[in-house]
Amino acid sequence: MTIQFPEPVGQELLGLPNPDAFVSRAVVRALEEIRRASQASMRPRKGRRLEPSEARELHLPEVKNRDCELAWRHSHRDELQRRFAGEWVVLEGEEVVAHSGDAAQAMEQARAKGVVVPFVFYVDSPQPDTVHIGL
Amino acid sequence: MTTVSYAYDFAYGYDVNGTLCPLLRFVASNVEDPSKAGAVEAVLDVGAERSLFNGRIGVGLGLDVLSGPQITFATMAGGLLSATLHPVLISHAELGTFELEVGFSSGEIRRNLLGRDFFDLVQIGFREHHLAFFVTPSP
Repeated sequence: MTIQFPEPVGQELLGLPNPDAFVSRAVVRALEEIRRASQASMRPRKGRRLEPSEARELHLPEVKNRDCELAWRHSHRDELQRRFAGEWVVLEGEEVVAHSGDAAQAMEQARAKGVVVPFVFYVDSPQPDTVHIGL
Repeated sequence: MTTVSYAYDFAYGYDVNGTLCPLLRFVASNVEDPSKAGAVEAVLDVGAERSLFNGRIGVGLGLDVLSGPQITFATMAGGLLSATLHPVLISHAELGTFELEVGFSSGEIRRNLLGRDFFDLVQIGFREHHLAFFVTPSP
């Protein structure tokens, strides 16, 4: 939860003549405490970079170069949109090995065909005159 | 004036629509079972306080996305997206491996976002005019 108090309110209160100013400062301090407490209650972000030795011990799957898939995806964009618009596609080399409206199902289908690390992406419908923002 | 040097430079990548944008492609793995992995791409989004991935990709990584700490993402349009937080391993050939607590959406989203929680682990810079971004894999 985030509580926001516009600064001008506090400044106006602080500007009141005595003895009200004493009370005003106490109010502003209390408001500031509430704001700090509300910020502290937000879940902190968690992340770290693993040391290379630590990562090696995890026996992580290989990070393959996907240049082949990316080049094929780019040159076959129209075909992908015609055949798979609205679906998640798993591409391995130049082959679509799985596709589904559900990303999890597409990944599972690809694993069933022996793909260890499925490269999965969503295929949009063609959207002329559309630009993307984050969400 | 501060001058920053970066260890790696990357060209913007084509997304599936044929648009060049700052994409990072990596392998996301389940922390408990790294064999459950997927190669995914995410847009680098300086407007996102936290990273957000499609929840069904989380399921594909073997995560129970119906459980876990709840978080709400507020969109620019005022809409709210609920998600649950789960740690995942993010492995990149050049940048190394990161453990990051990522939000997995409860509803369908079409793009994964790497947000400022990831940027907190690296140094990153953009040259939009040159369609390139730069990363040093340490804060």
